[in-house]
Amino acid sequence: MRRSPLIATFLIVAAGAPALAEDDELNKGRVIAVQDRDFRMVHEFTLSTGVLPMDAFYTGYSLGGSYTLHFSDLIAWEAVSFHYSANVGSGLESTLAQRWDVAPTNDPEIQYLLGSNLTLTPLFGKLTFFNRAILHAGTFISVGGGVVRFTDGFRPQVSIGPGVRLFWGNVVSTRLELRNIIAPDFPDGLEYILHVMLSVSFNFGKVRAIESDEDVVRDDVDPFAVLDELYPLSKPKPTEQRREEEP
Amino acid sequence: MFGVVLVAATSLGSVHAHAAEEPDDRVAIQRRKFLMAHELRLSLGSMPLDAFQKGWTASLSYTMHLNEYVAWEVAHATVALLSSTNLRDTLIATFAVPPEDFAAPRFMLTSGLELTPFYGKQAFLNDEITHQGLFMGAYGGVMFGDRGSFGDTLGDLRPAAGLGIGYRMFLSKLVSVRFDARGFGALRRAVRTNEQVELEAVLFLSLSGSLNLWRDDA
Repeated sequence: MRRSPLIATFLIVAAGAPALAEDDELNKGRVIAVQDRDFRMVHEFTLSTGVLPMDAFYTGYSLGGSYTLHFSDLIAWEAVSFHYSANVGSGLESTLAQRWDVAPTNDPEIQYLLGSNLTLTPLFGKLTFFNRAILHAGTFISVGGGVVRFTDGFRPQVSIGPGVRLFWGNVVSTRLELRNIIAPDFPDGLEYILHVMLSVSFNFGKVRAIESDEDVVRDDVDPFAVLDELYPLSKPKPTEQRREEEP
Repeated sequence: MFGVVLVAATSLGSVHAHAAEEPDDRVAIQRRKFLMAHELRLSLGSMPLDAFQKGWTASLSYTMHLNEYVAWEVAHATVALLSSTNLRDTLIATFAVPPEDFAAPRFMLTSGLELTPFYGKQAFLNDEITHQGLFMGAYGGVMFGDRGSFGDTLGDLRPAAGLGIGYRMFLSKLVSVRFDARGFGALRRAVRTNEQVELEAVLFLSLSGSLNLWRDDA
């Protein structure tokens, strides 16, 4: 839920407080203030490309998508994700044949992954690009499970992995994420799958599933105006007006 | 100074949202709280791509930061502990392949240039503020393939070049942690009769603790 405008004054200090704490005469306590988030995710549809680089015999290039329902700024549920893998041989088979006259047995390959994940976004903030542009970003971690379809059948899977999201607006954002997947292959053991994904997401809606319309409060306070009011020196009076006021 | 910094800090938060609404397009970026100077770094990582041997690595590096954006990683030395895969075990046990035939990278010595275009801060659970940077780099150097004895390993020298990306989180002016992902192409020579010259892909992942030393303003 977005905070009320009353908090705007508090928010103004957010960016500056840590930097000022060491040399500011007002440093008489710990001030923690966090600016309200500019972007608000609700219903997220994602298109992904990726790579599955870990298998020795092939590299998988994935194409897929997902739908994510955001319950709050912190918690979201990636209800369903599907990624198809197009596999390209790594050249290991020919290496084995050339160097040692060995032909490997048939190695099952990944065909697609189907999953569902809980996503936590504990970190949200801003990045500057060469000190010119400002980008909003969030860092998240996904935990979940599902199934992996191999050429010889289905296997269950659990996954965990971090990601980072760059916002280009309230609708479009880009995600880069890693998924570390464990797929048990009974009784032979566990198969580790690394899935690296680059995605573009489209966000729709304003009211989250656990909110009502009244909960969504638009904060239109201009922090510059509040700053000018709090610290008049940051908004100098015009020169002529200053001269007139001087004795 | 208070006013200047406060204006910068405030506008960092507001200018983006209001740029489209106001003709008075005030843009200000807060000064970086953490500046790097001479970085001494200890890393633990892995080289997971090799089909026969997975490398678990320890590295030591020194990086000279020339300004906010550009840094020169003067030297990065890595040693790898190699663990055998099932495929390698099978080849050795079943097909009597000599263990020295596989020769995954055992040592690595590189240098490179790094660019940090992104710097910013994020709120952790809307409470603590963390400062961080995103960077990328181009690296070059040599790798040495494991050939059993130390002398033979030094003889299997492979020129390597690669690109990488990384993420740094500042814990204080002195200490930061960073994650690096680097992809190298290593020119592997034909050392044995059954080998041929090939370009080997080496993925190098590492998690590091960095000490930032001799900062002018520290």
